[in-house]
Amino acid sequence: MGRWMRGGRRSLAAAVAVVIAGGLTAGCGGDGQESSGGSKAGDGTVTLTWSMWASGTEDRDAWQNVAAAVTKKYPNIKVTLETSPFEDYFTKLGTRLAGGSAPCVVSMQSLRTGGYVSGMRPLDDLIKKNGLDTGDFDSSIMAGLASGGKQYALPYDLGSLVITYNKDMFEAAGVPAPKVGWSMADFESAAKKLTTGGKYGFVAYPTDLNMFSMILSRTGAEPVDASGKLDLTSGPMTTGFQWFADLAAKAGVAPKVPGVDNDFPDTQFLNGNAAMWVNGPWAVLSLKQQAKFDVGLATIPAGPDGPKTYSAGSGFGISQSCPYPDEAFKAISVMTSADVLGQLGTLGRAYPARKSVQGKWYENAFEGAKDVIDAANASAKPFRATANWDQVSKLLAQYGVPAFNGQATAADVLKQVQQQAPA
Amino acid sequence: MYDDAIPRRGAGARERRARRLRGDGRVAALFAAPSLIGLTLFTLFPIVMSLVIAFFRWPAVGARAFTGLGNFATLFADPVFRRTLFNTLLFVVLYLPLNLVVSVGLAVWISPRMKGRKVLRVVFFLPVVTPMVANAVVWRMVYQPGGLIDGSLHAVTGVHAPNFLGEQGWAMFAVVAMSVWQGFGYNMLVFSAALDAIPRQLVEAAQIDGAGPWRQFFRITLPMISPSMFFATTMTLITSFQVFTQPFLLTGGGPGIDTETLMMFVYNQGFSVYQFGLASAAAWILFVLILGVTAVQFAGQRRWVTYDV
Repeated sequence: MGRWMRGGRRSLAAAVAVVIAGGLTAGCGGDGQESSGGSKAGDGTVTLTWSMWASGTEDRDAWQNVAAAVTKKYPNIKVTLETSPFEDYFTKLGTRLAGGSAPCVVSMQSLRTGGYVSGMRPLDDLIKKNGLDTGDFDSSIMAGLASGGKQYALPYDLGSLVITYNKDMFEAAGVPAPKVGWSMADFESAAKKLTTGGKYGFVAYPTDLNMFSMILSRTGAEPVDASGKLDLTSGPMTTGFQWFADLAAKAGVAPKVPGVDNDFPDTQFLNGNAAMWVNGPWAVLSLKQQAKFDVGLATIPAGPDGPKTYSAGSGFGISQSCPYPDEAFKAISVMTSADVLGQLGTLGRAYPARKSVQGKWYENAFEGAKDVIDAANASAKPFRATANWDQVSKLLAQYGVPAFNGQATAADVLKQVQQQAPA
Repeated sequence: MYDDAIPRRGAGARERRARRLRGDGRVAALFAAPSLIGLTLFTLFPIVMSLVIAFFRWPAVGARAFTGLGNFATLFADPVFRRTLFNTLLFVVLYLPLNLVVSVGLAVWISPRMKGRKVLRVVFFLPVVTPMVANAVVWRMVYQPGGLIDGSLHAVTGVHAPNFLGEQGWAMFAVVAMSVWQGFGYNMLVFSAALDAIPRQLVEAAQIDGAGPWRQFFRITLPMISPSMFFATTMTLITSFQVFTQPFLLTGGGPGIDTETLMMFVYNQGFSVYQFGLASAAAWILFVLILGVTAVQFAGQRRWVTYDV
């Protein structure tokens, strides 16, 4: 081999080493000064990226208008919207926060706030500095978006879990429509009567908020204890989960679950295959638009200790790596202003987190919706989650399915999830 | 056929080549630079980096610490990891022979000058080029209760089919079946081309000697396509060890962890739990596994692969 070749190999090796070393230091550098979350143009215009979950063009358009509202108020701030489906949103966000390349404005769900605080900027100093009055925000959702005594996001919506039902199916089966405050016994007898001719009264699936609301009302069990630890193996939780899974496995009033498919309950409900499912107010109006039947609302059936349900909500925060926190705060103030939340409420995209504009949501809602939502809110408690909730909810779907098909017991499933996701 | 792909040059030729290179060295280096830089940045660097990470406790946020072989010890002590390793091996053991039998079978079937042969080739190749996501959606409809299989079985016999994706014991077979359907077309095309290259006179000679169709297949056809078989087996084995998309889309690894493969484990550790150290260590275990199996295959090829006509 010629001399040049040898020299070439050596210099190649050196080059590789330099690149690797450079990459290592860049990789280890952590709090990157470079950020893709925002940029400033020569004329002082600040462009901020905002990541949001959205399920379709209509949804996206609604959020695009929210972004536009920021520029209308502050012409020197532009917000670029990036959307992904809810199922992928938190996976993507976690990776980006870890890589220091997170968007400036981050959408956050109350359940998951705890898991992402290390990548997010506490807002308390900015709230104080800008003199923002947070009194109009519902206090339960403000608390949901806080962690360790610090506020990490300003809320845009909240809601208590309720039952959505197919009015046409109830009428066809001659079952009286559920009323506010109906009981578990009423629910079970309705579900049984509605299960006929290949259709089902209910759809059971292990999605966190929806399932745990039913279990909470049934046995009072909560998945996370007061100290924030995962507590899935308690007696009441096992009994409650078993009851919920048996709606499909034993009672047969819910369809068999065809594997892990988080869209399954909504699809079954919209197809007219299942007459009832649990939903948050954030999803209710879009269900109403998509459904080819009349959708009704009811409270979660009351268990032995009276009606109970969970509430949850979402908001907007600022990532730790955002180079323009002041501008980002102005942006999220506009995005959670009474004007914008009123519009979102009218569209049905969100049940506003501001008490002053919650009335707007009812303008397009159904008859009797206000009674149901008011009753649900009165009996709701915020859903407590662990920092690794994303993992827990994935494991619940993965391990839970066999229980809904009668192949595993609740005790087994809950033990597995508890073991694999120690908080 | 495939030996053409491996350059065999005499020592003399290599000398001459090296001498010529010396003259054009700098220019050659310049031309090579773009791909060399690309290779370094996007292949070499990540490989070395992941090897480094495999020896660290490397959470997405928070302190990183060197753990030596700690990650590997954690993995082998973890029943979930061991189960995903088993699942991956189960998938390979089921998928590889099925894929080969189906693809060789169909390639032989459409190999004579039959009518509509070209159309059939395209039809069989279609699943390979259609996006996996679309395939998964369709296969879900086939598998689910009340779906194509269950619906038609119930209509004809009154018996319900198993809940293929939701029941333990069925899910892995369902994933394998869908994967074979999705993947056999590629190997079939390879075999189809190899079959076309078999000299006509060999088959004719065998026929004159009185060899029946089975004998012809085992004595002429199989040895003649053995280099393609070797190529197909090696490639299929490698890709089947890395299986991810089918279980990810069809079952999400469930029910339980019945269909969670090694690759999914790596993904979950990396992008759901954000333990990059464990994810990298698991990826390297997979790499070593594939490397080992491929090495065994290469060592064994002398016994059954015929290169000379």
